[in-house]
Formats: sequence, C-alpha cells, structure tokens
Amino acid sequence: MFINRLILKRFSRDIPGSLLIMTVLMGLWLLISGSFDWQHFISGIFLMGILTLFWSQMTLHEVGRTRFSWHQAKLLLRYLFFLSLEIFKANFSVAYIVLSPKMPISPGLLVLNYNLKKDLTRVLYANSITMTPGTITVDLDGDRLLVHGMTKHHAFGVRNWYLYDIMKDIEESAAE
Amino acid sequence: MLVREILAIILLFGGLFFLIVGVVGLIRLPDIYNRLHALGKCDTMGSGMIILGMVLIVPGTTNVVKLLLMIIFTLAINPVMTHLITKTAYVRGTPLSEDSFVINAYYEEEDDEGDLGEGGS
Repeated sequence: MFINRLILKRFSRDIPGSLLIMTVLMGLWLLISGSFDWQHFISGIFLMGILTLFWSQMTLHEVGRTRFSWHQAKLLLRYLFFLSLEIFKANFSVAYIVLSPKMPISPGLLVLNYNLKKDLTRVLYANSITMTPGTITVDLDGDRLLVHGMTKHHAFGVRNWYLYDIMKDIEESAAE
Repeated sequence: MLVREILAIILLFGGLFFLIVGVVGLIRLPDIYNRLHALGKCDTMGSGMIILGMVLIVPGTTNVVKLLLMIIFTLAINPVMTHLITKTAYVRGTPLSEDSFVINAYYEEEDDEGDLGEGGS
C-alpha cells in the first residue's frame, strides 16, 4: 500500500532525520501554544507524527539519510554571523546610493562561474548574494551565475567573496 | 521612561527610515533591476528592525516567538521573491538602463582579475 511504503521510507530509513523534524516541530508547537501541560504533549506528538509522515514526500527523494556534524553547524553559525554583518553594510550602502543627489550608479550584468554541488548550499549562497551589497542573483544554471550589480565595484565583489569560501567548506565537510 | 522603550523607539524609527529609503529608491532609480536592489534590501532591514522593536515592547512569550518567526520568514522569503521578479524580468527581455555594462567573466583565468575589479566607471 502507498501509506505503508511511506511509513517504511520515513521512519525506517531515516531515523535521525525524522527525530530532528519531530523535535523542531514539537518545539514550535509548544512555544506557539504557550502552555506546557500533558494534553499539549500528547496531541503534539500525534500531530508531529502525521506531519513527519507527509514530510517524506518532500525530503526523501534526493537527499536520503540525514547526517549531522558539529563542525558543519559551527561553520554555518559563522556564515550566518558574517552574513548578517554584510546585510547591515548592504543596507547602508544602498541607502547612501539612493539618497545621494547624484546617484552614483553604473549598473550591469556579470556572468561568473562558481562551483557548488548541493541544492541547499546553492540556494543559501544565491540568496546571500541577493541580500548583500548591491548585487542580485538573476539566474543560476549549472555552474554559471548571473549577477546584476548596482555598480561595477559591487558586482565584482561577488567574485572571490569570503563567504563563498565558508560555504565551500560547509559543503566539503558534509561530503566526508 | 524605560531604557527598553527608548531602544524600541530607536529601532522602530530606524526601520521606518529604511522603508522610506526603499520607497525613494523605487521612485528614483532608472530600471527594474536597480529598483529591486532598493526594495529587496531595505525591506528586509526595515521590517526586521520594526519587528525587533515590537519584540521589546510586546508582552508575553507567545507573541515574542511569533514575531521572531516573522523575522525568520521575512529573511527567507524576501531574497527568493526578489530573485524571482528579477529572473522573470530577465527572461522576458526587459531592457537594462542606458550605459549599463554586460561582462562575461565565466572563462576568465584566475590571474587577471585584479585589473577587472577596479574598473568602476
């Protein structure tokens, strides 16, 4: 049966992943409901089980088994810290460009190559480019990255970006 | 007045400033790509600061958690929507503004990137 196959796939093949999803959902449920009595725990566990079952259709096709390493988590935290710094700087530079009376822009498109394999790191990296100084990811296709920059300086800042090295480290530490 | 409320007021007005900058950029900048620069970045920062300011003055953990979730979802969704609009405009062939550059640095070697990087016109 279809349901049977789903249960087998989710819970037997990927126990750590299922537990991770269930814990995250449980934490959210308890925080949002704001009460910690046993009725909430029981109904929460019931609902988390159902949700985790249906989650399998989204995650298990390509990713497979969930793995977790402290090294990777530390790198990701570092990445997020530097990313928030960059977002802060980006806003001030855009505000400066917009509010200065001469508007010092020289916009344009730039094609770059980059080398990230996994979907998750690609999405994270493209979104970081969109949120940081004066650049937007227009398209990414294979190992080609199309970036629109507000000035030439900003657009070329994407190349040899230090966040790219951290992202590369994250991906390589996952492969081990 | 409490220090918390003063901080909240500073954050709220800072967020307001960035939202205004986004709107001014939407009006002033020349083409759709540049306008999205102003909107996509300043909206993230502006709404984030406003929500942080609200976190400081709203009572109850439940509300605080909901507001923090709003920040996370804004951070996740905003760049995706910016990218989608830009990609749609690019695929439909919306013209770039005048005197904008198009450079293909895909096949460049590692050596000669120094002189390309500082050519800001």
